[in-house]
Amino acid sequence: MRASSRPRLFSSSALLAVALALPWATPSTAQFLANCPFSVDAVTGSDAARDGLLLVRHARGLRDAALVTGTNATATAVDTNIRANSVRLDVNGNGRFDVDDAQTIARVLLGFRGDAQLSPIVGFGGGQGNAGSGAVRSTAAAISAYLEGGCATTFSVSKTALQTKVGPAGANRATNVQAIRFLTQSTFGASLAQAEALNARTGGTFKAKATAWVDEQFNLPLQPTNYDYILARAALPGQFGNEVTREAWWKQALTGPDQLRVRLALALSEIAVVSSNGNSSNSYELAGYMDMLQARSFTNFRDVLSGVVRSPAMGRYLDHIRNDGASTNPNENFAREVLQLFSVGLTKLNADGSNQAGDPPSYTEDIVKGFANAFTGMAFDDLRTPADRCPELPTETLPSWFWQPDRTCTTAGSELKATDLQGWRRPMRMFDNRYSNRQKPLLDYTAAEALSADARCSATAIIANRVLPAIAAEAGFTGGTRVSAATGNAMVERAIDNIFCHPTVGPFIGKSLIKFFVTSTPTPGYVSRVTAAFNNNGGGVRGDMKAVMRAILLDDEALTPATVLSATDLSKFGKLKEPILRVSQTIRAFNGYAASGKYKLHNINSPEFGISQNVLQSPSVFNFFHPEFAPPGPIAMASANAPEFEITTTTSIAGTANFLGTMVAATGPRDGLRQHGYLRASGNCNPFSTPTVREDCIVIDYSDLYAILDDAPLMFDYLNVVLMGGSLPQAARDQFAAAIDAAYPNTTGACVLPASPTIATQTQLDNFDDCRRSRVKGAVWLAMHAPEFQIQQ
Amino acid sequence: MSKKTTSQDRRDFLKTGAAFAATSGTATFATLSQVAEAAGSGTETTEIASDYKALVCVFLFGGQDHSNVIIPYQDSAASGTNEYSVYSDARSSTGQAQNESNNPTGNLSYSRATLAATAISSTASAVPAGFTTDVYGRQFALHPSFSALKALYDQGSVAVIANTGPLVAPIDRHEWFNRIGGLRPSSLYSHDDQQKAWMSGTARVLNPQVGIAGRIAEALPTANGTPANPPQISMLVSTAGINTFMLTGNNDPALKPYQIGVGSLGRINDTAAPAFCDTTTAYINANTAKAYCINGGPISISSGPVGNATMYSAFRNRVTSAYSPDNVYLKQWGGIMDQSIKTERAVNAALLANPLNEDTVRTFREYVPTGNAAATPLDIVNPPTADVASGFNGLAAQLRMVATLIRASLALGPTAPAQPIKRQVFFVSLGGFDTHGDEFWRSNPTLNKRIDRALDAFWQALGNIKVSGDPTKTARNQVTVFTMSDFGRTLDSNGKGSDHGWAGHHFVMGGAVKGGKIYGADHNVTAAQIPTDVSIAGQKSRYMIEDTTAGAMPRIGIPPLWYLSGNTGPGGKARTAIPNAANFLPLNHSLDRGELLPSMASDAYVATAARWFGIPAATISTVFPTLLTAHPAFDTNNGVGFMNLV
Repeated sequence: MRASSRPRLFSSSALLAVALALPWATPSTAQFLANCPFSVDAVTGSDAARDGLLLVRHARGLRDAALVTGTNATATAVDTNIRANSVRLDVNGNGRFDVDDAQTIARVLLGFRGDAQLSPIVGFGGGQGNAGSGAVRSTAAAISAYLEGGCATTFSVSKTALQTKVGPAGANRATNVQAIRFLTQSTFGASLAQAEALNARTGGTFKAKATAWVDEQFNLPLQPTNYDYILARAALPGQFGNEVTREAWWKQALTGPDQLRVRLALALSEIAVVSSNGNSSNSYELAGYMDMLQARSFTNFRDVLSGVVRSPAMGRYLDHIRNDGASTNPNENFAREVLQLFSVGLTKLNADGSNQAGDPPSYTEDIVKGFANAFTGMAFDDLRTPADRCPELPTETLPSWFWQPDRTCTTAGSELKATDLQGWRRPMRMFDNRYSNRQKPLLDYTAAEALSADARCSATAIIANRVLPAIAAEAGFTGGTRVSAATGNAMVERAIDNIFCHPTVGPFIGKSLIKFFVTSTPTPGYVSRVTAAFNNNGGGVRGDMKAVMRAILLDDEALTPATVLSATDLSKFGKLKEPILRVSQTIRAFNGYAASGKYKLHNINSPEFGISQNVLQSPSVFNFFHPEFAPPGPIAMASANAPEFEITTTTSIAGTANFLGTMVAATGPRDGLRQHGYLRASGNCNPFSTPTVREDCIVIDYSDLYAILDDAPLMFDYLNVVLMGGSLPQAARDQFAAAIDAAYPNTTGACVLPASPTIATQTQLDNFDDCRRSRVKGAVWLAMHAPEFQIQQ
Repeated sequence: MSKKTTSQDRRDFLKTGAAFAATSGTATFATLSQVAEAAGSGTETTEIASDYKALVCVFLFGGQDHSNVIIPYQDSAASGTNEYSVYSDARSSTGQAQNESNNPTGNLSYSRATLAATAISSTASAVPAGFTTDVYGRQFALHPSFSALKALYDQGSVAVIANTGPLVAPIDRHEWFNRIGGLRPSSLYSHDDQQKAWMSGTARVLNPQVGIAGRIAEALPTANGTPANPPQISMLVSTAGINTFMLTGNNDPALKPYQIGVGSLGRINDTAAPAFCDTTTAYINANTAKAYCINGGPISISSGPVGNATMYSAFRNRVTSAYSPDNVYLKQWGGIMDQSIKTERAVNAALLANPLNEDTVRTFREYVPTGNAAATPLDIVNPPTADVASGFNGLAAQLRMVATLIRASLALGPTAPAQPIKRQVFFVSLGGFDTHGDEFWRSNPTLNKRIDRALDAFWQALGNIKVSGDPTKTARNQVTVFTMSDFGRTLDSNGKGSDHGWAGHHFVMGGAVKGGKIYGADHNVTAAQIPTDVSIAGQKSRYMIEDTTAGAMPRIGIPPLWYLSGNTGPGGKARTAIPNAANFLPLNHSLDRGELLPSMASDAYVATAARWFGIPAATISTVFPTLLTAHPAFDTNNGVGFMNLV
C-alpha cells in the first residue's frame, strides 16, 4: 500500500465491480481513488467536513438553503449530483440512499475503517435510517470492497453530456450506436461507457478501431477456468449439481474481459453440443468441455475438432468413450454427429454456403460405420498409480479401460482425490488392443475438390486418408484387436485430417458462425468471404479461427449493412438475440454485478418461467435451434432463416418476456433493492435472507437513467442506443415517452417534494423515491418489451 | 367480430363463484377447485361437441428402440420359443449374460419370465388383402413397462402398428443392397431429418417447411370457424414447442400453431396458492381474474410499475405496429407475441367460464394401474422416488393440458357454446430414446413406463369428458392418439446399447381404433433376385434366401439371416444355429444389424388416422403428397385398416 494524503479505502478483496465496469481494461488503484471522491459539492476532491455533511443533510431531507448552509456549495448542484448518483451512494445496498449510507460515507471520509467503527452503522438494525433488512453489504469489508470498485465509474452524470451521447441530435450518437451495434454482435453486451471506450481508441475509421479491438481480444489471456471455479466452490468429494458449471460460465460471460473468446466458445458449444440433458451431466466434465473450447477458440479449427474428438464429456455425451474396436458394431453415435453437425453437414456445399447441384450427400452409411471404427479405443485418461487402486481391486491393471473419475471404492476410506477429478477434463487416452483393426472408409473427396495451400491437406494426405487400411496384428499384443495405442492415435489423427480437409467444412462452419454473431440470413457473398478466410488465412493456413472471426465481424455486411445491402437483403439482415444474450446484454448494459462474485443464473431454462435456454443444457445434440429453421410467416415467406425462433413459441415468448421484465423492473419489499433492477432467478435477492446469501443477488444499476428521469424522451434515447442499437423509430420513442409521462407524471404528486424550507417527511421521501423508481423501471420495462430489443440489426 | 364476449362469461362465473372467492373477489385455483367439487363428480355438465374429433401425436424423440416395443414371445409352432431365442441371441453381446437390470450391460434382451406379464393375446383373424397381416398364432409381448397398455390392448382400445417408417417407394433388402428400385428417403439414420420426414410426410424434402398437421389444417379451413368469424385458438396446439408436424405453408392466423405450457395448471390441486400465479400479483394485461398463468403467465410487469394500463397499451401497440425500415425478424416476433397474448386471454377466459373439474385432472394425480384397483395410487406427473417411473413425467403433464383443452373446446370456438371447436390436433412429446449406451438400461424402461402411465391416465381422463347429446359416448370415442419416433433401432447390440435404425413399431389408441391387433404389411423377394445379392465388394457379406412362405408371417423383430445359419457374422461373432430354421424366415425388410426396412410407409399409418379425422378419401393424397407412391397399396377409403371410420 502506498501512502496517501487522503483517506483511502483498503481492502484485499478482488476488484470485482471494476472488472464489470470496464471489462477490457482493469483500472489501476490510482484510477479508482481518483474516481471515488464523493465529491457531491461539485468541487474536485472530497473532504469529510463538507461532502459528508452535505450527504447526511440530503439524506435527512434537507434541500435548498437548508442543505448548503455554511458549506459554500450550490444547492442545485449538490442536489443534482446526489440524485444522479443515488444508486452508487447506496453503499449498504439496501436499495436506497439513506441516512445509513450518508453516515457511513462520512465516517469513511474521516478515515474510519474496520468493523468496529463501521458496523454500528451499516449492520442490521444498527443504523438510524431504514437499512432494516434490505442491506446487501453489512460488513465493513463488504462495503470497502464495494467502494473500491463500485465507485470507479464516472461519478457525476450530466444530463447535458448524455444528450450529446444519445440524444437524436447528439454529436456522438452515431458513433455510439455504431459501437453498440458492433459490441452487440461480438460480446455479451456493452454499456454506454464501453461503447465510448471503443470509439475513444486511436486509429482512424471505426473499422480500424474495431479491428484493433478484435486483435486485442485475440491476445487476452484465458480467464481462470470454469473447472477451477467449481473446484473452489465444491468440497471434495462432493459435487454440486451441474448448475454450478453454468454459474462459473455466467461469471465469465458477464464479467470477463475476453468477451469474444467466451462468446465464440459459446457458439462452438452450440455447434458441437454437449449437454447435461444427456449422459454428460457431471459439473466438472461440462466445465472441462467449455474450458477446452475456450482454450482452443482462437487456435485452428482442426484443434477444436481434435479437442471435441478427444473430449471425455463428448465421449460420454455421444457414446464414443470406451467404444471398443473389438465390438462387432462400434457405436455410431458420435461418428454420425461429428459429420452431420460439427463439420460437414448432410449435403456438400458450395463456397457460398448453398447446396451443390443435386444436393449430393456428404457421406454414406458405410462412411459413418467407418468413422465409428475410426473413433474407437479411447477412454478416460487414468493416471492412477498402484497406490491409488481400490483396496478391493489390488491387482487392477492400470491404466484401466473402465476407470471413471467418479469411481468409488467399496472399501471405506478411499475417497475421490483431486487428481481423480482432473480426469473429467483431460483428453481421453488411447488403449492398447481396443482400437478397431478394420478397414475404415472415410469421407470420399478428391484432392482437386479440397483446394488448399495447407500442407495438412496435401493431395497425398487427402488421398491416403480416404480409407484407413486394415491393421495387421502388432507384435507383442495379445487379446482384443492387437492394435497398439500409438497406432490407434495415429489413425485418429488421420481421421480428423480427413474431416478437416473436406471442402464443405469452411462454408458449413463459416455460415453457422455468422448466424451466431451477425445475421440469420447472410448473403452468399458474405459466406464466400468467410469461407475464403477459413480456407486460407492469407498465409497458407487453413482453419485459422482468428481469420474466420475477423472475416465475420469486420465484414462490411456486418458493420454497415445499410450501405452495402439491397432493400430486400436489408429486410432480412439481423437476428433474434438468443435468450442468453438478451439476459447478458441487459446485465452488462447496466453494469450489473453480484457482490459475492457468484452469478447464480440457475435453473432458468424453463420455457414457461425461464428463458428456454441455458449454457450446456440443450435438449439434444441438435442444439436449442437449427441453423436453417424458418418459421411460417414473414420469415419463411421471405425465404429467410431464423434459428432462434425455433425456441420462440407462444409460450416461451411470454415466459422470456416475463423473465426479462421481472429482472429489470423487480422491486423488492419496502427497503429492499427498490432502486435497482435485480435478478430473481435464483431467489437469492430476498431481502429477508441472510446478508451472505443476498450478496449473490445480481443487481442492475440504473444510475444514468436516474440522472435523466425527468426527461422521458431522453431516457428512451438512452435505452434505444444501449439496448436496441439505435433501431427504435423516433415515433415509437415518442409514444413510449408519452406513456411514461402519463403513467408516472413527474410534475405532480409524489414525484415532487415539498418546497423549501419545508423538510420532507420520511413518507414523502419514500413516495418520492417510489415515483422516480417507477419512471426509470417503467422505461426500462417498456424498452425490454419492444421488438427492437429482441432483434439485433 | 361479434362474438359473445368471454368477459361476460367471466362475470357470470364470478357471480356464481363469489361464495367461494373469499374476500378477494377474484377466482383463484383454490376457489375454482371448490366450484368444481361443489358441482359434484358425475354431474359435470361441460361437454364436447358430438362431432368433435382430436388427433394427439405423441412424438418419442431420440428413436424408440422398436425391439423394446413388442418382443417375440412364443412361436406359432406349438409352444416353441425359437423366435424368442433369435431375439435374445441377436440382442446379446459377447461375454455378457442376460441381466435385465439397471446395471450397464450390452445384453439388451429380456427373459421370457419377465415378458410373461405383458404377453399379448394372439389372434387369428383374417388378413385384410394385400397390406395387413395378423400374428398367426405367434405371440408377442409388449415391453415389460407397458402393463397398462397391455390391458388396453386386450380391451381392444390399443393397436400396434409394426414395421412403419418413412418411405419414398416400397423397398426391400434386395433392392436396398443392389441400389435398385425407387428413390430412398434422404438422410436416413439422422435424428433430425427422420423426425422431419415423419412429421412432414415427405421423405425426400430437405428441411420441409410444411408438416402433416399443417396440411390437415389447411385442408379443413372452416372446421372451427371462418376468417370473418375465427375460433379463439388455433386448430393446432403443441405442448412440446415448435415442431415440423405443425408447420403450415400459410400465414393465416387461424392456422398458426399455438404452443402452450404445462406448468401452472398442475397447481389446481394445491391447497396453497400457486407460487407463480400469485393472486396477489396484478398483471398488466388487465386480466382482472388473474387466475391462470397458463401459457407462461400473462405479460406481467411483476411488482414494478404495477398493473398500469397506459404502459401495457404502449407495449401492445408496439407489438402490432409497422416496422421501419422493414425487417422480417421484427414482424415475426411481433406476430408471435400478438398471438400469444390473444390466445392466452381466450384460454384464460374459457377456463374461468368452465372451471376445471377434478375428473379431468385427478386421473393424472392419482394413477391406478388399469385392472389393478388395489394398487397404491400414484401421482404420475411427479411420482414418488420409490416408484419405478419416478421423476417428472413430462408426457403426463402435457396430456393433462391436452385433456383440459379438449374439455374447454366448447368455449374456444368463434362463439361459446353455439359454435364450438370441432377439430383439434395436439402435439406432445417425450425425449430420451436415443439409447446408444448405458441409458438403454438406465432410462428406456423408465421412459416406457412413463408412456404407459401417461397414456393410461389420459385415457381415464377422456372417459370423464362427456359428449353433447349422447350419454353413451365419452371423449374416448372422439380422440385418437398415435406415437411417432425418429426411427427404430438396430436389433443387435453395439456392446452397450443399440444404434439408429429405420422402421419401428408404434401404438395407436382410441375408441375408434380397431385395437387388440398388430398391423404391418409384408413384402418379399423372389428366388430370381438372389444371385445378385450375395456379396458387395468391400462390404460385409450379405445373405439372402428366398422367402418360401410369403405373407404368412410378419417380420416383426426378426433378425438378419446370419443369426440363423451358424455362419460367422461380421466381427467374428459366432452365430447360434437355430433349430427349425425353416420356421424363421430371412429378413426381406431388415438390414444387417436388424434395422427394419419399413413395410408400411409412415404416411400410410398417419393418413389412416387422418381419414378418420375427416380428410376425405378424394383429397387424402393432397394432404399426404407422397402417400400413394410410398405405399401403393393404401386404400384411400380405409387406409391400412386400423380405424373404424365414422
